[in-house]
Amino acid sequence: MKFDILQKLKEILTKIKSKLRSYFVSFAAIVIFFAIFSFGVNFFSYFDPLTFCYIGIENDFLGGNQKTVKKAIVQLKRADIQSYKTLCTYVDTIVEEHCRASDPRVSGKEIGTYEPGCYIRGSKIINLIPTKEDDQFVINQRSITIRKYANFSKNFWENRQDHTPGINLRF
Amino acid sequence: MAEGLRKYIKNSFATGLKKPQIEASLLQSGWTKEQIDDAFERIEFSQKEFIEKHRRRILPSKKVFTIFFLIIIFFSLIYKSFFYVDIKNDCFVKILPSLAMELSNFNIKRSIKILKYGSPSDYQDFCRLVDTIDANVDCGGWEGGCYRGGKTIAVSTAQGTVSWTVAIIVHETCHAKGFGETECYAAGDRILGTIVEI
Repeated sequence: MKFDILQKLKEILTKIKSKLRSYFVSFAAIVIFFAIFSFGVNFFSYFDPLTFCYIGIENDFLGGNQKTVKKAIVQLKRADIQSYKTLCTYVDTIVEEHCRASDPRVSGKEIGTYEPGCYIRGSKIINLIPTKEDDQFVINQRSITIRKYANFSKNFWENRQDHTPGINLRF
Repeated sequence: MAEGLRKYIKNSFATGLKKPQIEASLLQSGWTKEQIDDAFERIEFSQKEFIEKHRRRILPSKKVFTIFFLIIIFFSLIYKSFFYVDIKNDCFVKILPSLAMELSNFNIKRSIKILKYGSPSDYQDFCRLVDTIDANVDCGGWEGGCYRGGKTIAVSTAQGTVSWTVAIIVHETCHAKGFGETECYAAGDRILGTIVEI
């Protein structure tokens, strides 16, 4: 009788052990997949798996620098978490591109071309002036610009009549 | 003989007996272990065969699933790349594939959506007056566009900025309203001033 109980306990323990092993293998596979996925996504954009913050970065390969955009976002996260949350909610793409707020053929002047950045109304897009430089000054400047225009985007989406902050503008 | 044995096993299962009980009674009746195992194996095999046969009849094969899945993906890609649909605003626009620069027409679709939220009145005009966008490089040249007559405009800004693409769309929609170049350049300039916030 005692032997039977011990035998059954042993069987149960073996079953639990094998199940735990399979769970561990599945968990490890998920972690590895997620790590590879994060690495891949971060190659072309900014992705923070802890806060599920994804921001696409369309950089200017010739005249821009994607690294300083990412560093500026990280700096914003460390310095001002509230602005970082605003950025993650109201900005889905940062484009390294000159702003064009006028048609020079009409007004005779270029408006916005040499501004540090701008917000495209009706979107969740921020433009940053392209620069190859990667010193701390540029990172600080970009961080300030990103924070400013993330708030522009927030104001736009919050002040619309049919307020839909989770609207998907990606295609 | 073997047929009788299988029949007995099947009947025993039907009455609710378990495999070890049937096995024990057959051994007592003088059947050998090999004969019993063989009979059980044959029954299991014929059951599996039966299930497989009926499964195939009831469920479609993997091939059918794959074809169905591929058709769904194909039509989704077609829709995503070549059509802009906004049922709420009664807006249906075909975007012809740009063979030169960008097959997906991502830039144009994104720009239409920006126009929708950034300047609703211009968007209404666009939906009313345009039903086809040709994304190929045409009379407007690179980074430009032109009005083709009817409800068709050409917008070749695949690699351009979204704000500029919005301006071109508004400019060509302005032509569709019947205005000339001066008014339409002004419309493009106005929309740039509206949607680009500095």
